Amino acid sequence: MSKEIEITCSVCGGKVKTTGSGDFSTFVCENCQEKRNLPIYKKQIAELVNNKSNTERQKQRLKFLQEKVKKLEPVKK
Amino acid sequence: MIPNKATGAGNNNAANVFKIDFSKALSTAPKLEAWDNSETFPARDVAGATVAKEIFTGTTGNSSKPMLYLVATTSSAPGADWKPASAVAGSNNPNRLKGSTNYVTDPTTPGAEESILFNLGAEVPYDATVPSATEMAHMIQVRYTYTGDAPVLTWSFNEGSEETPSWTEITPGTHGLRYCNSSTSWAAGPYKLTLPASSVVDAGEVGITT
Repeated sequence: MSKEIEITCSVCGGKVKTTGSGDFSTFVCENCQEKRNLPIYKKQIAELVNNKSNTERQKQRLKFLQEKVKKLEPVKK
Repeated sequence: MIPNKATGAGNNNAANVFKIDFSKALSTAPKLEAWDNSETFPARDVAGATVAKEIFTGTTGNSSKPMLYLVATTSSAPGADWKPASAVAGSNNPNRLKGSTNYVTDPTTPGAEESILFNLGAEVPYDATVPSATEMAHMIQVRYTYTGDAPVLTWSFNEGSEETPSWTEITPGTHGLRYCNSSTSWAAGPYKLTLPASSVVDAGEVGITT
C-alpha cells in the first residue's frame, strides 16, 4: 500500500493528503482550481441556457454545471 | 504519415507511444498535464489555465472523474491495464489528468538531446455530452524548467512497432489527438468513439490528425 504524504497547494498554502509521487511544487488544490474555473462554468451555463435546441445530454450538462456553481457560490442570506 | 494511429496508445503495455525531445538540458523533471483548450482546433491556448470542460469535470455517470489518463514510460513500460481507477492528488505515475491538480512527473530529468516517453488514453462515460466538440477540447502540456537558453521541444508519435519505433513529428497548432474506436480507418475516417449504453468506454485507438 502506498504511503500517504501531505502536500501544499501552491496557491492557498492549504494541506492535502495524497498517495502520489513526483514533484508537488506546482500543485493547485481542487478548491483553488474550481475558483479559477468558475467564470468558465458561468459562461458554459449562459451558452446552454441561450441554446433553445439543447440535446438531452446538453440539458444534463447544464444541470451538472448549475449544481457545481451553486456549491461554489452559496446563496448569501 | 498523418493522420495515423499512435502504436500502442491507450490502456496497453506500450512505452514507445509519444515522445518529447529536448534540445537542451532541463533543471528538473518535466511534468505532463492536460488543460482546457478555449480556442477552436487547430488553434490552441498559449498555456493552460482552466479545467472546466467535461473531459476534466467528468459526469454524474463516472462520479465526476477526469477522463484522460497518462503514464510516463521513459524508464519502463507501464504493464498491462495500467489505467488508474481514479485521480491521485498532485503528481503520480500513472495518473488521471486535470491541470495542476492531477498530473504526472516524468521519472527522469532529460539532458541535452534527450527525450521522455509517455502513453495516453481516455475513458468516456455513457452520459458524456453529445456532440462532444466543445466539451472534450483539451491540450496536453509539458511543464519544465531550465537555466540559460530555452530548449527546443519536438513532439512525436510512434507509427512503427513497440520493438522498432518509427517516430513522426507532431506540430502543435497543426496536428491534434483523436480518441477513437478500435479499427478506425485513419486514412479516411470517420474519427469516432461510440458511447456505451451504460458504464464507460476506453478509446480503443488514439491517433494524430490535422
